[in-house]
Amino acid sequence: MMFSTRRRLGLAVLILASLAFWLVDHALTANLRRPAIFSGLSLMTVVLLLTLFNARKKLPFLPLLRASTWMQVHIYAGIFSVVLFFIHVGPKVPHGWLESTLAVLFLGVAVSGFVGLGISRWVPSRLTLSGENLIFERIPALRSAVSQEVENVVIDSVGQTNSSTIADFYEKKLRPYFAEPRFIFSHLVGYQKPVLRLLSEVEALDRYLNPEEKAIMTQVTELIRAKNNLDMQLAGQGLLKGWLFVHIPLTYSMIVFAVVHGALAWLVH
Amino acid sequence: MKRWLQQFSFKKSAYERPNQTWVCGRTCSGAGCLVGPDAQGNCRATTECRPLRKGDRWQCTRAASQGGPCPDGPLPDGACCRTIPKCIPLRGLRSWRGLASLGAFAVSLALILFVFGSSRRGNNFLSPGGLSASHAFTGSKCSDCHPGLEGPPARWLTGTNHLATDGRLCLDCHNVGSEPFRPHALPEETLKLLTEAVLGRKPTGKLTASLAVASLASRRHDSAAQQLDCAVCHQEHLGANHDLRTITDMQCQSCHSVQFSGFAAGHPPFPKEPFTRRTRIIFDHDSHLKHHFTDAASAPSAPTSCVSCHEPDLKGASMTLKPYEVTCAPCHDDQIKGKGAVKIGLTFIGLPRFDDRSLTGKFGIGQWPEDAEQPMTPFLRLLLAADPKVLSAMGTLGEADLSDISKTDTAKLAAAQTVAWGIKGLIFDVVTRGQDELIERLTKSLGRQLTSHEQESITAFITSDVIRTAFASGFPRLQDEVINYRTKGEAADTELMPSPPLAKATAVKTAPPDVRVNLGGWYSADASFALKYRPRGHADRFLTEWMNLTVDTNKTALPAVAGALFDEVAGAKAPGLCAKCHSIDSKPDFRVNWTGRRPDRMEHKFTRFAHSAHVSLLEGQGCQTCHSLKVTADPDAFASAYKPGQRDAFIAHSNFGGVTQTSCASCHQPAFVRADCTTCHNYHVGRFQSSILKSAGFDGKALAPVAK
Repeated sequence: MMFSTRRRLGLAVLILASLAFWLVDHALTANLRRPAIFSGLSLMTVVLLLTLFNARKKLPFLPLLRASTWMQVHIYAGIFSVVLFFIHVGPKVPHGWLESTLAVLFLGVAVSGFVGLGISRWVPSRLTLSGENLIFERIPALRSAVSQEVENVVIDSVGQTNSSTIADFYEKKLRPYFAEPRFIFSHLVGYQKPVLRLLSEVEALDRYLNPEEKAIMTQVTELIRAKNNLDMQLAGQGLLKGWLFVHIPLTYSMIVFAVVHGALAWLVH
Repeated sequence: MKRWLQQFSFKKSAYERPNQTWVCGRTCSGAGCLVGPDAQGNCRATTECRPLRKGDRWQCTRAASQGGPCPDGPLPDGACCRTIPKCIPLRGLRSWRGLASLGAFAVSLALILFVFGSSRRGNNFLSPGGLSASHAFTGSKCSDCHPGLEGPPARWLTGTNHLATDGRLCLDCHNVGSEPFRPHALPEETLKLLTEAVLGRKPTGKLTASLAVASLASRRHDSAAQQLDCAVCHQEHLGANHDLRTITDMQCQSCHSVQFSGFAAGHPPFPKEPFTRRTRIIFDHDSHLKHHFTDAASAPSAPTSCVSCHEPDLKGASMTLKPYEVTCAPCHDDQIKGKGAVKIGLTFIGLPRFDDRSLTGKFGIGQWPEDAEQPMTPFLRLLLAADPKVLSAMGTLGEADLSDISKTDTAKLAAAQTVAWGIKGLIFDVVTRGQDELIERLTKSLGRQLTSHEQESITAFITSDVIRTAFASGFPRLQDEVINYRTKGEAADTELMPSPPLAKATAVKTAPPDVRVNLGGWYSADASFALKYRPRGHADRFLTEWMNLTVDTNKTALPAVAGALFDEVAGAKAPGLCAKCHSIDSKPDFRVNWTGRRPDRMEHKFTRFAHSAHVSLLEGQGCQTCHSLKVTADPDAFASAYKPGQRDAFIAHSNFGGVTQTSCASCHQPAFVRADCTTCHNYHVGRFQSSILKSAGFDGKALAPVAK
């Protein structure tokens, strides 16, 4: 199925389901029949369906549809749960501590989900454009290798050129850059000025170098760019994985509160 | 030239396992071992390879990704020569995420358990929201409204009480009638009748899509039989500013068999004859407007508009009558005081004429005024009836003519004698004992205790001197005769006493006896042997209280006498002319309507209307904008509802036509003036006092409802 067709189908089902539930809620409200019980149970069911996506990921060996299909269901069911939430809560702000906390948790889960969806649509293309695609787990080791390599090049340059110009420059400007991930936030927002400033300093050094030193400095510049890509990959992939640190813990917390809320509502209604 | 940092050949790079909980502590430095930590996070590194013996030689088996076989090779004993230093394994990213999730779950669960174990915190935390301002004082704990939610929340689940709101608790403070949980607080039978009355009606407008959808889940199929808890409509826990009475038109119609979209679109038309009850005060607007107010003699005193006689009540809701002095007195006060009337006074006690020729000897009645010719008034009969012997004698006599009794009819002679001595005894007792004697006799005859107000009113403060004066000349030896009759049983022979001569005419002009009491009071005419009462004018207490006491004859001990008395005081020509304007009902209950309709704060009708809010909107026609005078061919139509003997209040012929729904809908429509159901309709209907008064006892302990 083509992506556009899949999206249209998903949106159509979402809109129809939302409309149907809104109408049922409207009919129940108009007839003083406790619509919150219906919309609450529906919302709980959808939330449990959404959590099954995580369970599905832990059971990769079972033939339970493709993960991408689950992802699509998760996205549209997530949007549907937000619709159900607003049908359930209505045009008012929750009052009690339990319900206010639950509402904040739900909105936190929903907002983090939407943010995650946006990140998963926006970051990968930027990472592809950035340069070599790297496995996230390998980035620390690669950064260490690059750091080691640039240090070797700089040390060798002293013997080769009988000059400490590059070594001094490395010591002053480049060692902190290679020692750890840098400019992470700038990479996240697509702000390249910090690294360009560093490269311009490298370029400014060029006039004081002889041809041999210039050749060595070219190697160093390549390693600066490689380190920049490493930082970019770390920032981007870290973001791709980091939003789940908000989304999933909030979900667990929300489920606890939702179960208590649901049980009380069922018993007291 | 672009540099590629990653190697994907199995000989050049290790296989990554991001799902594992622990990773090698030296991964960051690029020197992570291939074995990696175990599931518990312990480092398992020993040597870089496990040498393999081939023939008599040990060969290095270090992986290609780690650099392949090392140049030093295995030791002679087959051990690897390159020992890997132990590391401190690190948690993987997924593991941290799992820990964060578990932590969030645990913290949430701990918070919930903490709250469930604490009564006060549990109540505060689990409350779904603040109570409305009107219930704020009850919000100290959940069990105030939910009987099952007593104590800490953990106990709720093990308790036996129902956890839901109990509407019966609402009734501790709110009174909405005897059937509070029925729709409209009405009995099932009444609801069924109301439903049947509208089943044939079809709404004139189309249902909106919204209402059509809502009707799919309508309650109307079982509406008459169902019970509705207070919380169905009154939603709590929505904050201090929430109005508990908030309800939509669709919600109002959820039980209704015939639904419509709005007041201006489908609301049933108002009834053409809205006044199902005749007016309490008999006032024919038609004849007054057409004839009396235009009459030259009355015109100066006549009202000039509706508001000359009508005014809004204190709440501005109903229109009420202004006081008598403003409305009727200018034209009718003299009539009521008896000006020009044939019958000005009312005979309270009058002496009848007895047959003196038959009542002789052992049937003697002693001294008796020769000129006594009064009929036995109902008042006298009532007073005599207090004595069982006299009551029996009056029964024997029936309607017999006391002045002509056959000598051979000894039973009637004896009865007449008993009645005569009863009258003399009555006068003697009242003269000697005064008002107490009257009250005792009336209490016995009416069959119930009289209130102070009633005692004062029905005796009109009569004194023994008045009675003595009225009958002294007819009974010169009253005391001796009555004592002898009562103590010795000696009935003195009949002796007719001539009336004293009338005073000679003098230069001083003496006014007639009834004129001498122009302001009202007791009097007696010369030689008439009748004690009379002249009403003091409008709202005379003597007349009104006697009418009140006898309107329902079944509530008296002597219905026949009470009925005659009522006819005497409420007759068309009776002094005071009370019944000329004050209608008398026997349906729905017995009452004399002394006032026009007054707002009843206990009455909660389906429909309400605030007159004062609309007065400023009227132009030109004023009240007649809505209340148009009926044009009827029969000029007596109005009066027919009040003809003698017609005491059913619900047989009515109003002077006015009904208010039309279109006149209201001209303003009350969407985006103009409120037109929702509760603008004009009440839900809780019936007669009840909404608020229940509570008071602490004088001992300061009890705080219990006083009245419901």
